[in-house]
Amino acid sequence: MEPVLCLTQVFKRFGPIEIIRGADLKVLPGERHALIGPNGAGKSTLFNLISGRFAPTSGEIRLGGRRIDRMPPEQINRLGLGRSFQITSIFPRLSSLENMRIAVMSRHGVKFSVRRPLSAYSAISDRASAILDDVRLSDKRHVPAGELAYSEQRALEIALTLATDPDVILLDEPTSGMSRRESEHMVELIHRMTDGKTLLVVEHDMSVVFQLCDRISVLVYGTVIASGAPETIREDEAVRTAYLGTTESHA
Amino acid sequence: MSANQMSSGRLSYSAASGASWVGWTVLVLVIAVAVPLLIPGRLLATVNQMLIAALFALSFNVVWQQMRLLSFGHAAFFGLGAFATIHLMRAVAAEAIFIPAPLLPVAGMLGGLVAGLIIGYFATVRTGTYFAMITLAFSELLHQIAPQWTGLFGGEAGMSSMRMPSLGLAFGSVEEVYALVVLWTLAGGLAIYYLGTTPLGRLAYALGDNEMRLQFLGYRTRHTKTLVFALSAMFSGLAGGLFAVVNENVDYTVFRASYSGLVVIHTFVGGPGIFLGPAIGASALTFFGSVTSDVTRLWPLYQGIIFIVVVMFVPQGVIGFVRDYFAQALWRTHWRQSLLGAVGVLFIAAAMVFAAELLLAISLDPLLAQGLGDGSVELWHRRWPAFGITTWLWPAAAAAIGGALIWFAAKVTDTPARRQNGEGAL
Ligand SMILES: Nc1ncnc2c1ncn2[C@@H]1O[C@H](COP(=O)(O)OP(=O)(O)OP(=O)(O)O)[C@@H](O)[C@H]1O
Ligand SMILES: [Mg+2]
Repeated sequence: MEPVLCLTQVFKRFGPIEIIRGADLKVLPGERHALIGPNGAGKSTLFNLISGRFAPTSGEIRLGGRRIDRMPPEQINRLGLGRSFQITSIFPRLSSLENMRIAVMSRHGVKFSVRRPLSAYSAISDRASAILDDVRLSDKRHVPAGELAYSEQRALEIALTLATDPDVILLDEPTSGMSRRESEHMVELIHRMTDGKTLLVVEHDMSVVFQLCDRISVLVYGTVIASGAPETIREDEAVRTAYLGTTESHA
Repeated sequence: MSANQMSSGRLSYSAASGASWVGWTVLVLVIAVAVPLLIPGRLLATVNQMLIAALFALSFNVVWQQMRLLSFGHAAFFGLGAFATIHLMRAVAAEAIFIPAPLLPVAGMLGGLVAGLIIGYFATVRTGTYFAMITLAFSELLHQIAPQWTGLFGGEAGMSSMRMPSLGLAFGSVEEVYALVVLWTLAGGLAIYYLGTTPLGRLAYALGDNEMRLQFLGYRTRHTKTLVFALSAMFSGLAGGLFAVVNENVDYTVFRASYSGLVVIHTFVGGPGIFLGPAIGASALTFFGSVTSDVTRLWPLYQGIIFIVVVMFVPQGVIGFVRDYFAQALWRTHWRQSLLGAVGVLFIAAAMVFAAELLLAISLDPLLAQGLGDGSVELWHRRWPAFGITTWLWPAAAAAIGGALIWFAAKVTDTPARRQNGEGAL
């Protein structure tokens, strides 16, 4: 099967430091793919490269066969790739509902309209409310996002990402900072929302990874050292020494 | 905390019920009609200037409150709007075309819009300080070109025209001009408010919060910035158009950098986080500037001091402060401290005004400068020994009392954590 997202020999250098060193990654359509690796391995940097925040120093990134490694983020998003941020990135002055409306309306062709108040576009409001319902934020719909609790902001972060209806979804540590119960709900939600779509997720909690994902890639020092089914990765000697052993012992 | 206070410009458009809309509309119209009946004609001319300043500040604040971009060149749009309107007035006076007088300011809107699109397109390449620099550069450019370009800007003397009678109105009296100004100001203010509720306006707020996130949601943010900037410029142009209609003369000084700075001062003194804050700040400062012009030439100094004090101690602006004060019902728990503090501020203000006026009088006294006369100086119909202890004891004592009052008020106040109140733009 043709990969929907394909990275070949991607390098990224910040000044003198090479953070990503020849990363290769293939994400297949419809799969839920975990990207794991120790702190500072470059997982978030890789997300930034894929989503267009930075351009790679060299190498190729293809989305559905198209080169995207020189495109600006908005163009990549319009090609159907949505991402969330490890450090919550929302619109603090706007209410939760308005956060969602902003995200939803980007696909409704009313962006620059001044014909009616935004709240009067009922299709947008309905969709925005529906997603808020999904992430259990309906009670907080009128609360400014900046005043939400941390875990609620995390939920809003994910909701924003899903609201542009992307085919390829990149989530950077979606359950970080959540309680056991919130995290379980989030995993269930992600599972449901990514049905028929492609998911690439960075996650430190291995139980979440094994529960959610069909395949796992392991990133260590900017290189993907292994890619495969969860069982294979669990058994992989290089992975055990580089990563899994340490995480499981203090998880 | 104070950064949050400044950003408290969140608007929720849920509350306003139909009844309260009707109530507000009636109230505003009653006031608008009552004003010319209640106050003398000379003051009505001041009211016109206040309204124009209010509309200008509201339009400027679209760019700051929504997108968090600080424009230091909004005088360019005000000025171009004014010149566009004066040219249209000249064409009407020359009977080249016919436009009813009330519609003249539309030329200002168009002028502002076009200029806003062009300047906005370049300025939005950058953000922050560089954005401010680019806007400043454009308006300075106009300020330099205008006096040379006689055909368009009338050279040093500027351009003049006359309001022509139309629709049965002569537009000769200040009342008729007031009617035109107040209607356009209300319409412009409403339109600016409405803009904030539209998809474009909400997008501008989101952009002010987090431009990067918008890009990852598929938005080309520069388009939004240029467009909203141009709309802001359009309303500045409208204010400039009203200025032209009122004064029947416009010269190149409308482009001066200090005029771009003035709208920033008006906005921040009033409070950029509340919709009406800039309008109230602009009206109040314009009013004081006008009524004090007979008594002192130091108003710009006092205005500057007010600006500094507000930005340092009440960064949410005066209206923002008042809103917080009442939202937290501080008058109920802290009325003694508030009273003490207010009296303290008055004392210090009095001390400062006295000292400043005295210094000015000393520096201007022809005899003192030559060491002649009895060493006294006239101020407020009294002679004061210029360097006498007794003279300077007054401001020193007033400042000391004021300082002590404020210190005492602050000491007995355990300021409750400033609650973030979730509602209300107006
Ligand atoms: N813009 C940048 N400029 C310079 N260095 C950067 C930049 N972004 C990331 N880095 C560095 O790259 C390295 C990898 O960071 P990255 O955030 O990608 O790691 P990560 O795998 O996501 O780690 P974590 O699990 O802690 O989130 C870090 O050492 C970081 O300091
Ligand atoms: Mg990371």
